[in-house]
Amino acid sequence: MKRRSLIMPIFASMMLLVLLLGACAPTPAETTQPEQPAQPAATEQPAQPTQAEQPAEPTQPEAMGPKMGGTLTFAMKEDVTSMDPLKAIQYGDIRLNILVAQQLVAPDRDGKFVGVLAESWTSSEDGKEWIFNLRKGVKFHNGAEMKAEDVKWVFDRIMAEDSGAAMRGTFTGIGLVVEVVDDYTVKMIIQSGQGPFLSYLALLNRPAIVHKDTYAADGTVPAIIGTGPFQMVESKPGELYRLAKFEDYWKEGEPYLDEVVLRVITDPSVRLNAMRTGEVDMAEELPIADVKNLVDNPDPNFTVDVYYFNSGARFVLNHTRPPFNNLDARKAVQYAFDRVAYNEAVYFGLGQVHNQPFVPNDGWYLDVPMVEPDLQKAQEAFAASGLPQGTEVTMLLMPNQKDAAEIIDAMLSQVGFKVKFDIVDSAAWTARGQQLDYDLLMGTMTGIFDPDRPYGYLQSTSGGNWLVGGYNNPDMDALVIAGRGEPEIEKRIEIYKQVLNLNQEDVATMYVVGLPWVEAWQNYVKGYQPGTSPVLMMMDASDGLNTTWLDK
Amino acid sequence: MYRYLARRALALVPVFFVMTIIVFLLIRMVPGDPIDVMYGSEGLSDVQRAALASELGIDQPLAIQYFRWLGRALIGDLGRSYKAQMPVLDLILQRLPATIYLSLAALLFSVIIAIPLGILAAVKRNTWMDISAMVFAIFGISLPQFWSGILLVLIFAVGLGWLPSISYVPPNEDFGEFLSHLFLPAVTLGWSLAGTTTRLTRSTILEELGKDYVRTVRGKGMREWGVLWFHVLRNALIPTVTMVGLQLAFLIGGAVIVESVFAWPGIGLLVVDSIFGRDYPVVQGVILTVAVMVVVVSLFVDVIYTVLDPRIRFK
Amino acid sequence: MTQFDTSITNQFDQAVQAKKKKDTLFLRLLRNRLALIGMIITFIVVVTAVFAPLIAPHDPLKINLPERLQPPSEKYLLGTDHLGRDVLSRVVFGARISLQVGVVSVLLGTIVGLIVGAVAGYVGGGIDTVLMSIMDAIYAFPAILLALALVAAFEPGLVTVMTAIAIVRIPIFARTVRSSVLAEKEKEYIEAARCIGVNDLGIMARHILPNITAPLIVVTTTYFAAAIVVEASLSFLGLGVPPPQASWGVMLNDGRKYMEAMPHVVLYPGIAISLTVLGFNLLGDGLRDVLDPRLRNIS
Repeated sequence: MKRRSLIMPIFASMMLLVLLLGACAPTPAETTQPEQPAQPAATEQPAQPTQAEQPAEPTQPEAMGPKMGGTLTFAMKEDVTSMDPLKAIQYGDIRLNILVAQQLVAPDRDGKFVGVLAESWTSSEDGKEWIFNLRKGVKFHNGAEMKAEDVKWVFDRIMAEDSGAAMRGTFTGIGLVVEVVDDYTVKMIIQSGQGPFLSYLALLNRPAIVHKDTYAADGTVPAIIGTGPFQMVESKPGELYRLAKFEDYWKEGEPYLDEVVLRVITDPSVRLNAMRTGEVDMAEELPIADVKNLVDNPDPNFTVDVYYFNSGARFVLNHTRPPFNNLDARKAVQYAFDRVAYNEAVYFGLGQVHNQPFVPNDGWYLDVPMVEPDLQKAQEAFAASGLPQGTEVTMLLMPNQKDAAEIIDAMLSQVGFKVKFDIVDSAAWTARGQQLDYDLLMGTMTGIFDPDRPYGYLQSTSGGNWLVGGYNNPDMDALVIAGRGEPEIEKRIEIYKQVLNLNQEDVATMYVVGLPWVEAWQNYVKGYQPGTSPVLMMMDASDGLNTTWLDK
Repeated sequence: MYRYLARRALALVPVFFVMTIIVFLLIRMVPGDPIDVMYGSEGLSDVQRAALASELGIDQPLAIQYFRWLGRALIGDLGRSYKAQMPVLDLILQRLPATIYLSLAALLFSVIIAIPLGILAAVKRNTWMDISAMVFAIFGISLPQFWSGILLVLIFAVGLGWLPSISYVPPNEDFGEFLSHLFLPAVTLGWSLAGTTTRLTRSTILEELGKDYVRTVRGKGMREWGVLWFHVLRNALIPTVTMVGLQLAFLIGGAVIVESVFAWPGIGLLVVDSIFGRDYPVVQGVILTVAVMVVVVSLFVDVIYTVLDPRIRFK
Repeated sequence: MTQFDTSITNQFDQAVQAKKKKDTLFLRLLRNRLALIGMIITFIVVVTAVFAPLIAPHDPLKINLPERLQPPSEKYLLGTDHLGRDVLSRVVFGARISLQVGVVSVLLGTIVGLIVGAVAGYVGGGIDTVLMSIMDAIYAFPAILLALALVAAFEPGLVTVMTAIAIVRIPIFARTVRSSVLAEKEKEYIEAARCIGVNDLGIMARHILPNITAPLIVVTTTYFAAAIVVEASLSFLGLGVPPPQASWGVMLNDGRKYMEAMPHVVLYPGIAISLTVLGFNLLGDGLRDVLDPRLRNIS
């Protein structure tokens, strides 16, 4: 007589569970039928270049005012790659740096430059001499007061040969010399680059004013000693970074939070789940399909915000080798590329289709008509190029760009290309990209305040020329150089209009879609407004985690 | 027995070295170097690049780099991480506990479930019980961990809200939290281990059951459960036990997927991040640690083996 | 005077003959319930892969954005994925890639493992030590890390993924072959063959190899299933099979983002993987049960 065992029912139920999960999936509302991508609301808004969706979230503190204290946990999508503030390039580095260190000047929400550590400044007629009056009484995290000599020390270090600072090339290229006039006055002299000079000083925290004790004797950085509202308390690479309130922050009353914890969670689905369970208070870059759903059907517990600023995805063709050294081949791609379909496939329509990496209400957004996709013209151009049907081209891809790959494959094979995809990690992508070992790639760019930043790459001698496929055109070089050296804004606008026109005629590179930036916060997080860059505090030191408080 | 063990230890030494050489070469063959990681798309001049390369020591010939590293490693200096600005050894020690707890918990879970299941399956061979057990085992092996992990999170963390979905709390900080954070990752990892262990147990027991001595014992009149308990299990479990021991060694670096899904700050995640970040010293340091652990565990398993199986002692 | 009754002997002979017929491999396999299920499932999967274009109702690669992420319907029996492609067709064609990955990597691993293990076992001595050290070193690596590093180090693509998966498990094949060779080597019939003058290669090929197929088959079928899962894990980590080919692992990974809203996108590839792995493993177990003489005595 056999005893009935429990095993059978247990497995049966397990199998049943798996099947049930499929059947009982919440039937989504009609939101999964994408409407034809209408322009997201953001573009219609006046001056505010940000929020696409702002549910009745008051940005001014309500009558009761902000509550002090509490710890806020933020889910970061990437780890910090370097603690050295002068090498802060990747997103993770910037998230951390912006909270602990600050620059002299920075753009505000309208793109105008305002002073952060500098109270005011003047420049000479020709734009080659600048005087900065520093804010008085600003303390570093180690208690020392910020003086002009600290500023000079930072810039000297940037331009030193062995510091590895990211901005070295830029500043030595314009011949920067920094002089101390008195304790609170700094003079800067440049030979060129008058147009974008302020933007160089404002660039996402790389010329951050930090105290020299940030660097230990062997050149490593145990903790960044800056002037920001939070100071570093604990760092566990790959896991989390703990920041505590800096009591002597130069802005009275700020910050409200006692502590900020930046937690590294690289997988977007995991970040979303952590938001849902309440294990993190804020998160960035959630899976885009869920974002679309959450925008249409908001979650009762947290807010998801999609915002836009000057940034973009850029389709790059390699000009240094066949087939794309041939203008007709490039034209074939230009006419075949359907930005709207791309936006729909990759961003669920949440991106902003464009032909230049600026948002429509930015001052640098120029009136240059976009080249519309046209399958017939594409095929004619392909025929004119003399390439055989099924010409193989290699596209270099990072793993998170796979969605883009499939739609691009569909678009280009209609014309006669056959795309082979090489998926590599980001370091290999950079290495092969720099060697121009590809035919196509998709690049992204962000943190753009001045047209010289994106268009500067089009100059053949630019360090970033590989980012536009090694484009080499003397006419373009002349235009870019002129734009860089011109101090008057009106004149610069005219120059860059020509740059964009030439870019499209010659298919130097294709600016495709403005990126949707996503941040989410629990509804008890108040006082936070996403900025004009992926930073946790506006670069002009306003309205970020420094004025955020927890209503609980 | 000691001679046997000494021979085994000696045989493992070249394994250790070969491992370090393999990882040393392999990580350098991946296109892109640490400088690319740090500077991304900034255009670095050749002069700057050369200066940085020499600072990092990556411009030396490979052999020199290897021996320099090896020399220091053998006295305990694993170098500094390019990215994290701290000694590699400290970094590893910081991350090791999380992985060890996870591995032990997963193994425990798997053993508690898998061994009884395997025994049952073997004893009731070819019945529906056997098939069900096999199906359970197969699901464990065949469901990729990222899939089962996220499924468990959706059910228990997001859906039911019973358990947290991410991160690690050290046991000395809050034991209750430690357990609740450990549960889902351990089950995910354990399930896939359980699959292998179940099948191995089943097959070794089947083998033993087919042997002549079992027939003899049955012939003498001993009942089935006695046969099982007093004779078969001792012999059949030897391979299983050794396999479990080896699994522990392999888990140290291999729990990557689970660590990634649950944001569990362990060694596996450290290595993968370091591979993508071309953080050579960390990758080399971790693999060295894994090599050492594998060697140690192998020897330990051999000791257990000789204790359990007298035939080996007298070779 | 005793006289042997030949009729009894004849009956005896006939009985033995009859039992032999019933006991052929295939029939024994069929009687083993587990193996039977395994065979059926494997057969279905292989047929699906081979006849994919005939079975799939839609083009698996055709992007159709207006119909993306739809639940199962009459037109799309298993729904559509995030680019509007038919999940059923993709699962069907995915069988091809997944099987390809499994078969090629296992074949590669087996052949190399066979050579290495046979040489090490047969020749012995210094060569054995060297080869086995290398094998152990590879084996000691956490498999997923080694596979990841290999794929990262070499030209990305399907071939690299298959090779990496193969390399990672060659040590198992090598060790299995080696221990079998070692066991067989000592047997008398080998001694006898040598006496007759058969050379080493001949001994290996004609005498030893056929006797080690049993354990080899088991390891092969086991690893086949693991290969498919490792391939999926590589995709998860970021370095798997590049588009537009979509193995089940790739589908699982790509669909992860949509798992909550539209679970069918990951459910069906997941079921496909599980069933295939189940089938191959059951088949392997069944084959082992049947081929291994030591297991025949179990009542």
